Amino acid sequence: MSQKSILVICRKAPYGSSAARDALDIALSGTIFDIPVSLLLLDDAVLQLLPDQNSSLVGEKNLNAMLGALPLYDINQVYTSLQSLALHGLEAQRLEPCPVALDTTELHDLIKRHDVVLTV
Amino acid sequence: MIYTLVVHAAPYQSAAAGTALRFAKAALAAGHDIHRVFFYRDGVYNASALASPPRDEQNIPAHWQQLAQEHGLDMVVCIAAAVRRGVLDAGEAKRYEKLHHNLADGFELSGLGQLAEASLHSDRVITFGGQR
Repeated sequence: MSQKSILVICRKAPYGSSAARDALDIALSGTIFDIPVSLLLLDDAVLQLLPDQNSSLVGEKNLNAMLGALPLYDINQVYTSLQSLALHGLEAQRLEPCPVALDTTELHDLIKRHDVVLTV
Repeated sequence: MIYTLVVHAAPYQSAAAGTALRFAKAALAAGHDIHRVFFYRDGVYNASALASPPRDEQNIPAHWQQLAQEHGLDMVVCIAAAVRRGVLDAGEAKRYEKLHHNLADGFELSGLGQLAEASLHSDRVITFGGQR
């Protein structure tokens, strides 16, 4: 039964709402049960991966540290889409952690191969 | 079919909490099982015993309680999300040295692990009100 996998999808920029933190919390909690968890950051959520965020200016905790800790929780792969990168003029290599950028077909496959999809 | 419902929206401002409630009723009426209703983010306000809508409007927290009583629903509220927003049970009120607590009967504060566990045990996990 614990062979089930979870895909957490977030579409929101960091700090504009609690969505980024809440999605990460879900992802991390899944790993407690040894559930394979993948994180897919689409649209504005790709901005969560920008390095050197100075969130203290808006009184929020920095996301970089939480994202950096993902490998400690066995979440080794973060995904985004080519479209999301293009939307913000970003290159995957400039982001931390560096996401795997998927085209539309690959995006469909990623969602399809997970048993549970949780969106925040 | 075994369902788990995840509610991200507070009652009233968004229709999502009411939609989740009606979905739960419809699923149970059709003979399905609901393994758990998990309240996360602003959804924790569904569990406030202090919600006092006008008499001619639906009292969503009370409807959840009634449904839970009739069907033995397991209604879990994310403890981190709830405590932040001032939805406390007696134990948390004591821990944070607050004079009052307001978690409605029938709801239980617990961790996000309960969502992960529910995902494993359910055929379908449906989220209501995620888009904010």
